[in-house]
Amino acid sequence: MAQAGLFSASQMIDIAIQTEQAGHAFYEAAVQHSDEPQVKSLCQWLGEEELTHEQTFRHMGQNLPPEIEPKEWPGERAEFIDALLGSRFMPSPEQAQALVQDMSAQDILDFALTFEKDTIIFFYEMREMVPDGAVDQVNEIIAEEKAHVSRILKAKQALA
Amino acid sequence: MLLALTGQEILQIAIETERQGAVFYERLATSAQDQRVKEECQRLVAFEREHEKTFRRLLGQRDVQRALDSLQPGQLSDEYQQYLSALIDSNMLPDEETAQRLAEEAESEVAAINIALQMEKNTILFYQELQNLLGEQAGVLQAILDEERSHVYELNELKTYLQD
Repeated sequence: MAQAGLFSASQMIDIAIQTEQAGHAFYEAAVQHSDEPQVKSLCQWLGEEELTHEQTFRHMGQNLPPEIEPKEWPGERAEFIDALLGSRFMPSPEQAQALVQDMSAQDILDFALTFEKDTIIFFYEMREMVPDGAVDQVNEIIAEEKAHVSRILKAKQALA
Repeated sequence: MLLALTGQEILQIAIETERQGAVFYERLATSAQDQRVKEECQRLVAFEREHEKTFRRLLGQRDVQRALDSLQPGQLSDEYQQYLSALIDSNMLPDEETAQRLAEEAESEVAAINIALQMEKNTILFYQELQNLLGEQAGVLQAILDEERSHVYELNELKTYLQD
């Protein structure tokens, strides 16, 4: 995806938007299909959070200064970012619907946990790319994604 | 103290993380049919063992333990402590038996690589927080983090190779 280790802030923000959209798609499908009230309620909340994050990133992208140069990461770091993005499963709404059909409540939570952790790792990388003025917003979103991890794990432990 | 854990206990968690990683890769190196998978896993075993040694050295460094022990619960939000707890509790390889079992019972080499990828990512997340918490004492963690990131890249390449 990156040209020889070159990543732009707007590219990373676009990926962040797609990430939040994929999260929302999955959580919406989980709300529709899960029979477990705790999981439905948690996924409802998670889906709403992802929508809010998507809006934050859209606003961030719209307010990017035009003169920001793409950042060139050292080769290994760029390879890591590519691998990180390549190793994630980002469902479309249609894929999410098909995916959750065969999922138990624990499967849904396991998928959500993996998804949220992948997202946090990506946002840590993204934080290096955005203008200084946007770093606080990214930090806030990272903190919120961490809260998602905690709540998902609590739900897993409660269901076990 | 953080999460009611001493600095020594937190470093011990890192040691166990690396040790179980080595057990997983060792088992996978034995059971894998594909030569490239075997070789890659053997490389990763060596890395995990080196990381374990590094964390053991940190155990002997008073400054590092003091830095962790000096963290007061009030300095960190409940939410943050819950997150750290969640990272520790959702470790995929909590013990040697689980590490071996997951490597042996993976339905395919790709499935095993997926487990390894999640394991490495969880480790990255944990060490990133450890780095944040240790501040000035965190120097050696940067090299470990860089190596863990390269493991994600290598494992993803291996997965792509197996799926082609």
